[in-house]
Amino acid sequence: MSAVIEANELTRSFGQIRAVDGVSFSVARGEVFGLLGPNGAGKSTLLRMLTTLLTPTSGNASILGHDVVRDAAQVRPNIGVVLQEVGLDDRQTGYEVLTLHGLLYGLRPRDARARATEMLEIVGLADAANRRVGAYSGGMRRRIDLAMALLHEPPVMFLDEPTTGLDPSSRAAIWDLLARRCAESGTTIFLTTQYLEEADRIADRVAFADRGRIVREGTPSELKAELATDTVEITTALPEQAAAVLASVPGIRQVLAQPGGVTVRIQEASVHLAPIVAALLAADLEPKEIVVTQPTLDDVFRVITTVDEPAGRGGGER
Amino acid sequence: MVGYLVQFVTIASRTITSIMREPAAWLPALLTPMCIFAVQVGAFGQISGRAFDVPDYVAFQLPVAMLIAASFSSAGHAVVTDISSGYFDKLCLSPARRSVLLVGRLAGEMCGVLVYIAVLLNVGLLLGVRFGGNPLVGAMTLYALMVLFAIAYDAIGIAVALRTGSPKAVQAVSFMIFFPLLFITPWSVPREYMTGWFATLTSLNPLTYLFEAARSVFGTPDTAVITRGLVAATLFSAVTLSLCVWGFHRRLRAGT
Repeated sequence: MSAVIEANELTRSFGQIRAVDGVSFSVARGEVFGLLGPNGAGKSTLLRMLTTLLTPTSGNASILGHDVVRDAAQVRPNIGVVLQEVGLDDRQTGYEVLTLHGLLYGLRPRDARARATEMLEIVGLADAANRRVGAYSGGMRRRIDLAMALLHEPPVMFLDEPTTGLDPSSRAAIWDLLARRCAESGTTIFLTTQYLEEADRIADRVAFADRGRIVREGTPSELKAELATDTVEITTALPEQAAAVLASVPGIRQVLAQPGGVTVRIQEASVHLAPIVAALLAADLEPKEIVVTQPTLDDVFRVITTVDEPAGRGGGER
Repeated sequence: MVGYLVQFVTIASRTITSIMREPAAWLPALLTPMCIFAVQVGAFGQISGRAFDVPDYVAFQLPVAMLIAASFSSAGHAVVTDISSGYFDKLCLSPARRSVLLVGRLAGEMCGVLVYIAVLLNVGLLLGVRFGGNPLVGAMTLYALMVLFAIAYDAIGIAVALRTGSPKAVQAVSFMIFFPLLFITPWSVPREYMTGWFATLTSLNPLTYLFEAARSVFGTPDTAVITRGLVAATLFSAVTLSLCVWGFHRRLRAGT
């Protein structure tokens, strides 16, 4: 099956800065692809190129086989885009915003009006339909923005941190809505987010972006298994000594002494817990408390950015 | 073609609705030119016949008031607002043709300009100004001159908006261009009474020919003068519209 979204050595420079630096990936039909990364990693620049808003400096990308530069006119009707900033005309009512959008997407006036009403219903803004969007709350604005992106039932959706700045219940509502609609129609989704637990829950595949490049890619569980290690937090009165002792225990990837305790990163903590405790006891350092935590995508992210940090900043070890 | 037309009407009517919903957009466009008109006529109306051989100073000043009204069409401001609100991105994401976004916007703004000119024309008629030739042809000529100027002036604002995305830059550039454009013309005194460098600069300003054409409509219509004014206004708008299109392409490439 051919890829729905395909990027080939996509690059975008702003002056001396390479915001996106030779990025290649592909997303299959119906797949939810999550792009994660810190601010300034180039996520939004990448998304703007894929959605025809920005011309690449070099490389190319296609959506459903249409080149994003050459065939931009064929790309646009096929994509629904939710950008980081909600973009609305405050002087229009919710109903007008959606009707206008429908007309621009080629709906007949009657269909555009019907579709606007239907979308307002779906995003729960039917009551506010005739109020100007300038008077909407942040959550309502995001929902009307989402309705704009879904209105023409695009087969491919691009979401750029769509839930940033929203309270947890609004975030959940947005994801609910997207999940429901996309599952029904087999929509392909490209999403960027800083909330890693969101990506963990929603994405079939994730990629980590850092300084314009994609540094890791895989399913959330693959990445967690491959990169993240279990964390064992040991409370002890003498963290420095404990760290010195633990450094010689086989299988331990990283030991970090902090005031009040030691943090140990280790693969499969369950297997290695006994040697850790034995080593500590042998050195007369009785652990007061031991907490074992399983990895999250956040940990994967932290490990990646630590590992890839240029030498000199240290690997977090002391 | 039908799709293009629907998109065009959609963008134009959105523009008209926005203007109507913002009294701050249309009220100054009517009041400011009337104030300047009243001040000018009050100051020079009694002496203009003796001083520079213009007996009907009301007719002489009416095109100036119309031009000032036309300069209040604020497509540049509207575009920069759309850019900073992010709505411009939404329009660019839609399959609407890029030219529709520009042409539809300008068409909507021009509907506003037509209303301003109509109001001022009626004020002039009430004050006794009369067309020299056929009133219908005269009115059409005036509308054409003023709309062409408004397109030209708006296109500068849009070009700056697209290039900078900065409301301040749009305001500053529009201001800086408008004042020399308006004042280095025979706006208060006929060109025959000018000398030296000022006369030279005035003869280079397209608005000079626009004013002379509009005044000719109220006096004895002179086809050569009117044609010259229409050509000057058309060339002026062609130049600034090209700037605008360039700004649009630049924006897509630059992304900011």
